[in-house]
Amino acid sequence: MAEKADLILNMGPQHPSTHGVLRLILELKGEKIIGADAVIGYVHRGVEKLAEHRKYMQILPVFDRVDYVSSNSNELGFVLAVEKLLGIEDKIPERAQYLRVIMAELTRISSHLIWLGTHALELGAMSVFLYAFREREKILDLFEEIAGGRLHTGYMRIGGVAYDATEKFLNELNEFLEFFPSKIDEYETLLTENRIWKSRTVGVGVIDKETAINWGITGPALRATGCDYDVRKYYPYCVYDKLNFEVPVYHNGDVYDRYRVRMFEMRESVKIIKQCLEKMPEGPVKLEDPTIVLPPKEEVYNTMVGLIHHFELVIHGIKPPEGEVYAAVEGPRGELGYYIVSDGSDKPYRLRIRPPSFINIAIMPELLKNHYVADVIAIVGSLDPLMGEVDR
Amino acid sequence: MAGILKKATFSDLLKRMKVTLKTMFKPTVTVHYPFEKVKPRKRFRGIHALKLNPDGSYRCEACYLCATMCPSNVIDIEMTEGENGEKVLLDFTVDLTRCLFCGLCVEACPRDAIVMTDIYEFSKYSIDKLILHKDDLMEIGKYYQKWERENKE
Repeated sequence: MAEKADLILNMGPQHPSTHGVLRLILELKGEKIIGADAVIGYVHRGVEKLAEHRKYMQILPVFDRVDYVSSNSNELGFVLAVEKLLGIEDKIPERAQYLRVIMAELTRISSHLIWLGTHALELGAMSVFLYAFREREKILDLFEEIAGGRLHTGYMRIGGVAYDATEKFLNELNEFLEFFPSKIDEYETLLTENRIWKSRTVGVGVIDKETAINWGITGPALRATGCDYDVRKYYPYCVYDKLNFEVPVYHNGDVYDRYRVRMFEMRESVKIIKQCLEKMPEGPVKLEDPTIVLPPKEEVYNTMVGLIHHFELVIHGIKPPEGEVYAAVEGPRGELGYYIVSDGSDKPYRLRIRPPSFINIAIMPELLKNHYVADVIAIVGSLDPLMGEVDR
Repeated sequence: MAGILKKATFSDLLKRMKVTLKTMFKPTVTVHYPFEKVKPRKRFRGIHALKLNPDGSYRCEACYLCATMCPSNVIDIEMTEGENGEKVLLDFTVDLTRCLFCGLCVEACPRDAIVMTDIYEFSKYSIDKLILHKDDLMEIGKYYQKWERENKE
């Protein structure tokens, strides 16, 4: 027989520690939670439906806004799906592939920094928040330098990337990679062996491996349970198969291990970017195919053929063949997948996103049971849900 | 034994205090907006502008490509036929309340007529002032062309 709750508490949607507009209905027995329910849908914008009414080229800026702190991963996933549909995934210039990986990994670092800052702030460590955002600012400056946008970069294009990297960008990136590992050490000095931090996180919100797999959890939350699933290793995309990096795995599955996985991932991302900078060849950053990629501006201004191709592509859009594809990338929160059904027209017939945070927070009601109210903040924070992505 | 000693003397705490104390004496990284401003980078996408020809006429030829490319129908163009059968731009409207600042209109323009400036402060007291017309865009365009000449590599 179910226990009767003493108090039903509404946590959110305006609670500052729920990472957006997540509303939790907690059934309390004293300080203990005996039942929980997550209410979502406060920032539903109908992104999937919006995509059905836009041409393939026009969808990109909309998907920047799905997961608004890791826009490059979102764009990359969509772009890879469309390229798979067009059958051009092997023809993308190599320099573009490396630039994509660099941007995706920088996004992972910046997303993890936001997570680290807010998570630590919620558990009472104010200075980590300030330090994490100080370094994140540097990454946003890098995004602004290469793409023109700070948060919504709009950098990927179907068939390559929008612009080549500038000299200034590469110099600043090298500088950043030089000093950033020492900053991770700084955060770890403040938190990893901290008594208060450990007593708030160790043994809290434990997920075991089997439960995690059954609930479909991916990303750092899964790798903290002992499973080494990472899309970058299992189904390599772009140039990840040519790069040498480790996937961190810890075995306790609690909040503390999720924290350690993310810290380790940031260090690995730095390594990946360093390798990319070494291996990146010179060359074009866009495919040369006038039915997929807009011709370069000089051609449009000066030649008749370029102008005709430009008009044709802007007005009629990219027309992939009929079919359906699924392409996934390892976003900062887990496996981010795009499933596109095409009917041969310039707009997708149906587009479905597999949002990692949406699937990760499904376990929350189960996970919160028998914990104290103060632990709710630690658990919600450690799963790192982003409500823009949950509600889409 | 060593563990107890470590706990009792708070040596780990002192290590963390060292980090925060060191940071205290480092130069500040924050900028005192609005008294100080950060200069946007070259590729920054601010509000739109319409460039002009050297003779003062609009470079825009009303081909509607930017309006076609725009993902959220920001751009509205009105066009008529001139005396010699050429296209004449009547009005060019940019609705900043809907704009995503994705830069696709700039990419779609075949005449380098619409551009994005480095202006990021454009809050207004009423919504209708956020809808820019032909003349507003021309004024910003003059500013942009001056900026472009100064920032030439």
